[in-house]
Amino acid sequence: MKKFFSNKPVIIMIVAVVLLLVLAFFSAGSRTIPWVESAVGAISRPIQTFAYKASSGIANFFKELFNRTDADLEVSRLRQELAMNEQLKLDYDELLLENERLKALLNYAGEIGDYKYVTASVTGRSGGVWFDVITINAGRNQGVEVGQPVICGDGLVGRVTDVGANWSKVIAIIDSTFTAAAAVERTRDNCMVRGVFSSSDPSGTLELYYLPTDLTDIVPGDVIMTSGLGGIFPKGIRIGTVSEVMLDADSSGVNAIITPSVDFMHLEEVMVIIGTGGGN
Amino acid sequence: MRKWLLVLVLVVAFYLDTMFFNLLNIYGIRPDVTLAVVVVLGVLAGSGPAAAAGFISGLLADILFNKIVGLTALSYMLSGFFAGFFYRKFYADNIIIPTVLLLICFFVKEHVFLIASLLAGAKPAYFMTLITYILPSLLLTGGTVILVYLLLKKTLYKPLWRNEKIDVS
Repeated sequence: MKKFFSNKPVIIMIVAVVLLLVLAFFSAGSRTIPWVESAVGAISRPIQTFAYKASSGIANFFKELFNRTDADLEVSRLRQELAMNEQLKLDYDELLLENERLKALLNYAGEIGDYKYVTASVTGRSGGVWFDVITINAGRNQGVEVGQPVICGDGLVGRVTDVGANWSKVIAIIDSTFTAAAAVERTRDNCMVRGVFSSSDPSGTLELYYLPTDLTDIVPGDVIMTSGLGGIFPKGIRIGTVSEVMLDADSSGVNAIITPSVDFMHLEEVMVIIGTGGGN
Repeated sequence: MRKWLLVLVLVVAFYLDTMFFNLLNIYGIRPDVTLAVVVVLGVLAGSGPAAAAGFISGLLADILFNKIVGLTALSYMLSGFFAGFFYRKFYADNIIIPTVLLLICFFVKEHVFLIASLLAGAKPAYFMTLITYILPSLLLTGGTVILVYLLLKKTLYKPLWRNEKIDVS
């Protein structure tokens, strides 16, 4: 025993292991990043931004090598147009439905107010399949706080979990620990969505749950949006589209697989909605 | 010079792991180059340098990109320390030992993350994850060890007999 405790490298290793385990335990939840971590992030931020953008260019170059026919380029262009048109139609439908509800309910108080946005670039993404965390180059100095929603042109990206001086970490909606209150756009059914762990699909999927069978007729193609319940996410942000509907084991409820509207593999710019959320 | 080369290799490995392979991978399957460097460093230079390199690279990756700070640092540091037990225990041309060590370390590291994700509330399907992610990534990481080993062998490997007098009588 005496020999064991006189072995300096082993003692250092044990101390380091214990410290790292304590660090891992306390950093698992949402938090404001301590100044040491914040400084490391701030110093490396310009390099990260440059390296991430350069990597995107290199990755796109390799992908283009395998997608260079006119037909591939045309498909890519048409997909972009279709996505834009779908979003426009969705906005139109949403306004129409909202207008109808407003007529029926004069004392309607819309929950979507004038929000302030902070735009940020994506500077990194966690490796591996276990967690989906995105690093962005906006933080406390830009008004970002823990819990604030993050969106992009296609819909909901996630929620801020860690905030440094000039950078933040965002848990993506496709992370398996993510949950949000949602609603089916067509039927107005309220439900919950959560990220699904997927080892074979890096673009990610979500699962819709807590939807009683007798109260819904959800079908593939239905659009899922944030419901505004819970106060973290503003109402009406697009989450994704239902791709598959399944019954529970006891047929008492409906679950659905949702394809996220955001392309997480090509995410470069995001917006943080400041002045909402803010809680842990 | 040797130290600077090592730092350069670690920086390149860090860039590949945290940026490049995040954007360019095959259905999420990607090698762990930093782990390969740390394990090779362990067998060529010993536990101390390998554990220190693993600790710094892992902690930096955790701080900048990961949800839980400390897990990657812990995995890399212990891998380097473990690999160091084989320092000066085999011939320089033996590529099998570093490869096997790397495969073990990668397998253990991914299971550490699996446990962490379970504790965080995720419900990964174990066998599906094993077949579609862990094993293919394991093979890919095993492949990178050859490149890393060839790169570091000439600069880091110190034969046992270099400073010893050879008895020819």
